Amino acid sequence: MAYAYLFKYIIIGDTGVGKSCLLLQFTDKRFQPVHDLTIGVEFGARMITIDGKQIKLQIWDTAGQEAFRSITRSYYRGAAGALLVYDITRRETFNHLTTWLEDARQHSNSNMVIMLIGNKSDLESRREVKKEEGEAFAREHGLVFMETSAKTAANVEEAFINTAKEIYEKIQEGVFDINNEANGIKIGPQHSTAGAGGAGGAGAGGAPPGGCC
Amino acid sequence: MHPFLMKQQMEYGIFIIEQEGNSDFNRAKLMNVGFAESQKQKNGGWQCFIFHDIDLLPLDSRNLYSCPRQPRHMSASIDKLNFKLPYEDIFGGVSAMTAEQFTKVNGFSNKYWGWGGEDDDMFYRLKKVNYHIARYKMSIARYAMLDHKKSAPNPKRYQLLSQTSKTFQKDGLSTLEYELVQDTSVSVATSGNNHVVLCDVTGWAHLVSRSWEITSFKAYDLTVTLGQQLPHDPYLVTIGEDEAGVTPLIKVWDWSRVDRHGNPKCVRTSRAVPSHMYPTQATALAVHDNKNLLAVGFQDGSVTLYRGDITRQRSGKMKTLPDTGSSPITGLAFKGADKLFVVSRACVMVCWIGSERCVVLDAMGASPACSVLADGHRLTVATTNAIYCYTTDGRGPCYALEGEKLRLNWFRSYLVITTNETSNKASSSATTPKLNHLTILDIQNKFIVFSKSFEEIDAVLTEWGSFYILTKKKEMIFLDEKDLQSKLSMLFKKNLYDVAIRTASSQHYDIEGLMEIYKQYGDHLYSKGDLKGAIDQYVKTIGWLETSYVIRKYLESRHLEPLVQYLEVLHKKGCATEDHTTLLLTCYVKIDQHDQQGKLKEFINSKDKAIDFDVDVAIKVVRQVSVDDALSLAGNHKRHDWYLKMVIEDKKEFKQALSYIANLEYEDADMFMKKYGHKLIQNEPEESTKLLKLLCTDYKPRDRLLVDENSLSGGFTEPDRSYPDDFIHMFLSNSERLIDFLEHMISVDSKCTILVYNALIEHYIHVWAKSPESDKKTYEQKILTILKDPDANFDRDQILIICQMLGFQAGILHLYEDIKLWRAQVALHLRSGDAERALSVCRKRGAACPRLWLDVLWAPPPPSCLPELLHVAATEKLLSPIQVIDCLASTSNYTLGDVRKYLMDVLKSEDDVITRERDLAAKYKSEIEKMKAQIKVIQYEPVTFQSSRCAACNKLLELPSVHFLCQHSYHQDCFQMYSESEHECPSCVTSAGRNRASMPPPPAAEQLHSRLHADLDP
Repeated sequence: MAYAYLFKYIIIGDTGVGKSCLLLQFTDKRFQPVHDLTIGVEFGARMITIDGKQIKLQIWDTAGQEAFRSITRSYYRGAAGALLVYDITRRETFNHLTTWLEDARQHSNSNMVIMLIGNKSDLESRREVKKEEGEAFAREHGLVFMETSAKTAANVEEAFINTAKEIYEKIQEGVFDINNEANGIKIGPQHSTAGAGGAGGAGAGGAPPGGCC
Repeated sequence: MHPFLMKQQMEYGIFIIEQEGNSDFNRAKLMNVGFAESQKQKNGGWQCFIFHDIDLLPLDSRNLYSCPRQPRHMSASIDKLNFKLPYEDIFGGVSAMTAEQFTKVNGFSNKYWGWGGEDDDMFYRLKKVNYHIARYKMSIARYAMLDHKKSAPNPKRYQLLSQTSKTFQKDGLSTLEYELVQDTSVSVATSGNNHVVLCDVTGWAHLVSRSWEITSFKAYDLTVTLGQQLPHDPYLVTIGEDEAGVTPLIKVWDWSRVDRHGNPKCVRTSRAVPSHMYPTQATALAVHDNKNLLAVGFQDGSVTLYRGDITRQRSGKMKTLPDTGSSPITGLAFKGADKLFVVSRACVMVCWIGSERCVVLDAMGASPACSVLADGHRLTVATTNAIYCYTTDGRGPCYALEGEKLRLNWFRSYLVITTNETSNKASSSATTPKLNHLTILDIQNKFIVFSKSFEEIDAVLTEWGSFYILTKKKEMIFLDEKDLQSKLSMLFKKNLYDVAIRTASSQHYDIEGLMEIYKQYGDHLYSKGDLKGAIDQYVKTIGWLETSYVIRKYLESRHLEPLVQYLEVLHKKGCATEDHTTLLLTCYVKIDQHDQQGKLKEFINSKDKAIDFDVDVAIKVVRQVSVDDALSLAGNHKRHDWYLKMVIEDKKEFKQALSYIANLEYEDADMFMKKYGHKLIQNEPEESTKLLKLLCTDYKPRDRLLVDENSLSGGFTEPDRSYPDDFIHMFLSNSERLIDFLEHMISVDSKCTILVYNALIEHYIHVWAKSPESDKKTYEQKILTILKDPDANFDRDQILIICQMLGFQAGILHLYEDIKLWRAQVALHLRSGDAERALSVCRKRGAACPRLWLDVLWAPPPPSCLPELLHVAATEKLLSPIQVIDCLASTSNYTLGDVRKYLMDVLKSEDDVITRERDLAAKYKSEIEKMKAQIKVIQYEPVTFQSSRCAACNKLLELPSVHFLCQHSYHQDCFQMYSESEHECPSCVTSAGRNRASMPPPPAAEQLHSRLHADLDP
């Protein structure tokens, strides 16, 4: 399907906070209670509409385990948005946010939109991190904050779409250089400007857009 | 030999030992070398050795290539020798010895150069240490001998033989000296078109067919560095060196054709390095399956692309691709016909062939052999910490797998990864062989299906539907993929059910098998106590697995919530039976009892029928628990019958039931009134009667608009109405209500059925009978009005019976009157002693039915009535006086006075009769006399015919005329005209006829006859 823009996202956060479940909920609209550990990096895509424009979200779901950190780091580059996820029922995942944020800021381009997500909001009874704390952290680091539940699908759509909106706004403001794919944004085939240097030129016409996986 | 040995299911290795140079051939020493070399190769060493001449082939598969306790001479029966044993002590050709036997005799002698002697030498050695020669029988030990040029026999052999027994300890294995001339190593391993191709560093290429037939040929003078066998064509593309220096040559071999040396034909030879480039080492080769594209990567990072038919010399164009960097190319892969993946040590690139443009996908390269095109479209590249997938768009997902990758292969849907074993021991001792680790990853199911360490792996080959590992030690290890069933059972054993499910579904496992997996998974989770998880699996088996299996499990363990979940899904899928519904509801109830979750309520109120269940069963179950819930359930699902049944039987809310019925459509209302009317009337007579009245007149559901659409639009529908007949029986014990109801019915519609009237009258009479004297009048009145009503349609006989039963005289009388049963009426009056009324009946009806009088007479009537009776009897002659007397005499209370007048009258009248009869007799007598006289006259006196006029026309008589004795004369014409017969006088005939006709009919007989009729037919 033709799209106007392609945004690359990356989902990061400690192991077991529900990154893969968020992705599954967003792309497949289902919840899988038992999920294998993500080994390496997995991948999902979905089409959304913002401001009447079709936008394809290409989402990289990374492994949260420390052992895979070096691999996941290589995926930061070329991401326009990042979902930094912690588990509201486990404080340590919240405590590790700073490390993740440093990692993300260090390896990504400076304009990357980062959204802070407190997942598992359905488990209110086991909550360890208050919503206010999350909000405070987000304010402090200039992030957008939202609490979600991959199980009940609460706020999942919003999280992804709000991030996309933010990116979209930045594009409109001219913050992103949309011709530089390293920013994680790609212009769809119908937008391809003639003579655009290097990437996405006429030669790409034959290749199916997003034919990945 | 391979098929032969495989058939015998031996574990074996074949070692071919060749002698360098042109000196005399030393078979014995080569055998020793073979023994020594092979013992190095295998850990623990081989135990059984078959020393085989290469010109012999076994003909009988019963000839087992094994070692018995004694050395065995195998080739006893050779075709060239007419299948005869040349001499008894022969031990040449093919012989089998154990390692122990061989070492005990110190192997072969090393001294026999040239043909012959060494086998006999071995025989002596064996004999010396007391071994015997064993042989299969001649029919089994058969061999074929191949033709070859005979080499020169050894002239010194007999001399050497004579010393054997003394010197064998000093000559043999112990003194073996040899030099390994060249240990070639495999440089290229490729496969395709049903063949495996191995090329070695000495320039040889070996083509191995499926039946392990090897075709070897010298492809290059020096070495082969790269090669690729096309998968569907007999073309092999190689890059190698024919001369020293860096001059890689591309050669294309068509091994379906042979050149004059019997080797595969080389159809193309060209320099790999284009003339404008500095000579450099070729490091990567890719050939497209369509035989029109060929790419070569070089050490200096350049890639050349050849287009055009690769099988033809000098056809097509050669181009060097731009922007490919300067680091050595390590991998090339065509994706489709228009894209080429290029992997160098520094980066991964994709090149569009058409536009000759390269784009760097990732600034991360890979070692040689560590990139492969998976699934035909994804490039997988192995790096130290992970395996990355690339599409032409960029980097895709990755699989984290630690270790230094050596090679990456793709087989079906598996990624075969060879890594360097990173064991701690590796560094500690140099002598332990290097180990490589082979990991096979199922990409689809993200599961490591195989992981094992091997000795250093040279190549992984995939051909013939399975794959082979070639180790540095030239061992080929065959890895067979287990069939799905055994794969699954292994996964089950490891309790990796989810993987099993994924695997099974990705391999299109049949649905039943899949269900079985779900079941096993469920069982497993269940046994581990994860009941909820188990039910999730069981739920997937719905429609296949017997539900009772699951249900029983959970019932036994009394875990209701998972069971409820299962049952709910069962209902949603529409597979539920009544029993399931029952069970589900029972579960709901149980759960609700435990903790007030209100599941039942929720279930009942699910109006959208989210759960497809059998409502009737549900109601039945719920009813046992909570009538109210059941009621609302029935109400929701319009199960009126159940609703009413419960309201009436369980709740005894009759008014509610009535109002419910009143809201129903006519048909339902009618039906349910019929069904439950009895009870309702018993308990709520007023209301029910009212409803019934409605029902039988013009019923409309109560909540319906008064004027419905239908009537508004002009359509007129005959209103449905019930027959009151159907309801009568309900009023069994409530006559008053029934009367009320029926009166209403009759008043509304007088054309009611017989039954209605019957019932009404019957009940009137009943009520009449029961009511006190004062009220009787009114009822009597009512009954009589109905009875008298000409429209009233009732069965008189039945009513009569009822009247008689209950003694309702007025009715009886009326009915008697109606059906003309006057006699019965009279009898009734008489019985009740009311002679006067009996008489009055007689007076009224006596004319029609004289028997009435007699009835009264026979009664017997009181004397006061007697005169009238007797009078009637006398006047009507109902009874002979004698009979009257008899009748009256039967009762004693009459006096003669009572009958005197009657008797007098009778006698008098008799007397009159007698007198009259006498007179008549006299009169007839005189007439007879007169006639007699006349006859006499006619007989005896002459008669004169003198009348002058014709009696007919009254004209003057003329001849011809006819005369009669009666003094009539006629013209003949007139006579003929008037007379009916020739013998009678027409005048006299008419008068006589008139006489006869005017005679009165015989009165008595006729009267009697008619009276008989009247008597018989009242």
